[in-house]
Amino acid sequence: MTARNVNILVIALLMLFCCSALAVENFPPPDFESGYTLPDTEVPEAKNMQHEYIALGVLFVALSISAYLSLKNRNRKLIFSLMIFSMLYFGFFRKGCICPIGSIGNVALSAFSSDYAIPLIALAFFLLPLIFTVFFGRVFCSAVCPLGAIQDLVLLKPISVPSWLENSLRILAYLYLGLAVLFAATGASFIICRYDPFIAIFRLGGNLNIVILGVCLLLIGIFIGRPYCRFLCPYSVILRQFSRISRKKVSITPDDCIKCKLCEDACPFGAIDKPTQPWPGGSYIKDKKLLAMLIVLTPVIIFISGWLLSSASPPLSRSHPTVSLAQRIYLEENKTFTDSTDASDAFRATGKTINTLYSEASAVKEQFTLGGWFVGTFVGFVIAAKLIGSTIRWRRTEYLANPASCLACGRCFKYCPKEQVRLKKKSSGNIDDK
Amino acid sequence: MTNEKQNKLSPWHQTAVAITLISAIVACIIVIAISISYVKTTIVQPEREEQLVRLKQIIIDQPNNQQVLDFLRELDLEFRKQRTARIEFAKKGNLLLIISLIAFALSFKWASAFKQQLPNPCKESNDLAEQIINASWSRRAILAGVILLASIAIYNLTQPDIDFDKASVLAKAENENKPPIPAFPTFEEFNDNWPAFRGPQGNGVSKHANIPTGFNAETKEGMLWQTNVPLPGFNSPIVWGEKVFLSGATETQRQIFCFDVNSGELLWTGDLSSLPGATEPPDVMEDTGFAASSMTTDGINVYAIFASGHIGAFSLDGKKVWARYLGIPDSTYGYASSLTMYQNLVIVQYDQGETDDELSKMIAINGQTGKTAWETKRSVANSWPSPIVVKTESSFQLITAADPWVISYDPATGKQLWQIDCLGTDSAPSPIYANGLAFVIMPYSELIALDTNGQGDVTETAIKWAADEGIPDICSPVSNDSEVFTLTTGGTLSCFNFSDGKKLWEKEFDGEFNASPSIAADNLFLFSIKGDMIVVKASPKFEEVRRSKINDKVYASPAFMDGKIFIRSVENLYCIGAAN
Ligand code: SF4
Ligand code: SF4
Repeated sequence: MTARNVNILVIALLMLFCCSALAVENFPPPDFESGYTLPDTEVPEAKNMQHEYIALGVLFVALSISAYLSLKNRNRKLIFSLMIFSMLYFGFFRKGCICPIGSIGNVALSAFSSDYAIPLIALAFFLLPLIFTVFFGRVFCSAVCPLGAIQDLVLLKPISVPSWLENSLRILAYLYLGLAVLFAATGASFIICRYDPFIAIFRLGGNLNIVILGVCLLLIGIFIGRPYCRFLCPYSVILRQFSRISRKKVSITPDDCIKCKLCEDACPFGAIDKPTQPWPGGSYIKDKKLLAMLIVLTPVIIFISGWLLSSASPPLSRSHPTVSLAQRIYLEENKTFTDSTDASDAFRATGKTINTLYSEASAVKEQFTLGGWFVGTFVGFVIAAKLIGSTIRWRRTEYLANPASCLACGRCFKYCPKEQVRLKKKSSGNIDDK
Repeated sequence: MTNEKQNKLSPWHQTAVAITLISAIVACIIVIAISISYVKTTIVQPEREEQLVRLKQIIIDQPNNQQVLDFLRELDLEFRKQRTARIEFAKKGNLLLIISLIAFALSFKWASAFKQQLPNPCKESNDLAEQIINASWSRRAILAGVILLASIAIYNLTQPDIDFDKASVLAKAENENKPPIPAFPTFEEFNDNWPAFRGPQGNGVSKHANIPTGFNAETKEGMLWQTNVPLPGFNSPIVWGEKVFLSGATETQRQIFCFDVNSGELLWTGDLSSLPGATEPPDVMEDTGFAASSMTTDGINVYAIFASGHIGAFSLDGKKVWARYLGIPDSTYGYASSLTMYQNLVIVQYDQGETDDELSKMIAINGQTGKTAWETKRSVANSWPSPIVVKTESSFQLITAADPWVISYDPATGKQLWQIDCLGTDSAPSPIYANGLAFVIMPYSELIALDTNGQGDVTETAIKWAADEGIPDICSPVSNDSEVFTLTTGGTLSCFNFSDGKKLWEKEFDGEFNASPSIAADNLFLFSIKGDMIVVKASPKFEEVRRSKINDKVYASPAFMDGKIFIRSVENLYCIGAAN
């Protein structure tokens, strides 16, 4: 084993140990039966919004710099430095909140619930990266997102993931996005925030399960570049679509591609599309037939997917506090449980009737069933699109950074001989930044 | 020298490698330190935790054990301090660990930059084959994923689920079929019975006009029956319909007895002996015993409380409905306040400790469920009077007497209505309410008449008059709305004018008296400890009506029903009345 590999092993083990260190320990509550008077509840002062506006300003500046660095300056070192700054500021200093990824929950809830008005800051955090993406590609992912940054930092020995696997695993992100919107819209919970895998690391402590999830993702991230970004991040689903239509896109070469193949393996995120070979005739006809069949089957795929997800509404709806409470009360009423929980005691103390609770739970379940149809249809559509996409024979004549997948990290730039020429010219003062 | 070798020898590369190693070692040390601290507190500390749990259990059983309490508090504080320190340590450790890991990753990347491998564009590759494989494997992988997800969804489908619509309909039907909770008795029904200590209003007055004035214990003339009470107790009998109830207790036993009104037969015994609670019996005086508090009933259940702090409910036919442990009351002579009822609420006057201890409280317990309906703290010392629920001109009031406050509450909510600072230590006689005024007794010193219409602290305005001669220390007063009568333990019976407290007459009797005087059919009924029943006219002029005697010791106040008197002696229950 080389020293390098030993080092990687050491860091992997250390990260595993982090789990026990970061798992937050709950402090036992005071337990005096008598004589203990609870102190008066103090209402904390309203959060100082100044910090939020500063964070929004920093986000704007960081996005602008990131766009400049990846599109004009094309300097990986500076992109990396900005990325470390973002990780420290948005991650460790601001404790990962509020972040554009988590704000999906706020946006979904405000869209579906008349009782909830989204805070303007949350809306701004959600929109700003999207606006930048429309103009400059995924510059948020390149150096501003703290989640992406921490994964990028631990990427020490990248191995490539076959593109078919990458393509299929990406469906998970669509499913996650759909479920996140469903859970937020029904008021069940903001699952993106709840299961943010790196939040416990940024906050130097948290729920043990989340710590384990985060550390595992980072361990995988040593070898597989940014696994969360590529296969899970729900915000990336939106960013990908916006990035496809972005006005300016990252390009590997500052000039025309000469197909030297030097950048072929440069991207640890599998975002470089190679030039395609002409398809053999037999395969072409076969694929056309397949294409026709898939187009016909698309409604069926969408329907089955919608049906499956709507049928999965009972277990999904149990994450909603009303349904879980109703279930608990039901089981207590049926003597499946002979004890009670704090929640069921509190419910009984309200004097609300069990029937009312059951009706509310039933209404929530219906929302989940309906929402399940929408999410299922959406996921079914993605699956069908991906299947159809695999039969379409794209034509490419040069090496291109895939506009949807490219995280604008700038790693591939230096592999291009044309870039080397540009840099030389630049250092000799012959050209400006492109 | 190759490029790579040159890079490797560069001082920057060596610096990067050194930082990588140092940060890795630092991270290792931090992890070891955190792990040791974790192991220390999770493997070594549980013993302490167990010790804490044990102590907490002991303190539940012996709430007055100051030594254990102090030790428990000390241990708890020490335990918390250590926890806080460890959490603080872990927080700092985590920060350092993260910093060292970031340093490791950065320096590792830096060091790696010196020996980057050049791309190899000339490697063998079959792009076309790869293209085709990718396309078909993509489809297969997607299908495999879809099948996997679908299987999970289908598995979920087969899992049982609760149909809340159906459950709601069933719950509704069940609710409709449930026997309705019996309504609590009306005020009139209460008045027709003797459901608490000194009757429905707690004032020792019976509404019946046909109460016998005497009996002959030798010939049994005028005595309907006599029956043995299995356990001792100083509490008074209560009567509902055809049943008489009283309780008895020793250090280890707590029981409720139900007798037939007509035959004296013991119908059932309810046992509350084996309830969880203190293992040690409470500290009580011999004159108080373990069952001094009289029971109460709402005609649905009967309720009893004992000096040990155990309270329980039995249905009228003897089925245990609920039982609770309120904790041993801190009472100098032993707990003795009787229970009373307001609608479906069992009212407990749980006075304990000293005024500053803030331990005393009024508790209203839902008679059907045994759950606390309301609880109100009161700044009074331990006391022995019983609370009364009375109907004043405007509302129902729950009137209590203790040291130093006479306090009135709304019996439905426990909200304090008014209070008067007029009593002193060792308060024992219960308050009464008659003709718009409440009467309380400060032992040996004053009989005080109080207006009950005030609000808040009415000490300055509510005292109508106070008399200071012939004031008892144990027996409660009684009034026929035009006179107020008191009876001292030494046997002095005094009559005061209702409106101004002027003493009208006084009469001394032989013997000692603990049972409070009662009024029935315009007569005063007095019971001496020796067993004398003395009947005198309840009038502005003294006139003795009759004397009778049972050869038994009587401490408890009697109960009166239609044509009957129920007298509890130490060992027996007597029913006085004319045979039909
Ligand atoms: S893909 Fe998601 S997590 Fe990754 S950098 Fe982009 S927004 Fe952040
Ligand atoms: S900039 Fe280059 S290396 Fe980075 S993600 Fe895009 S294609 Fe991959």
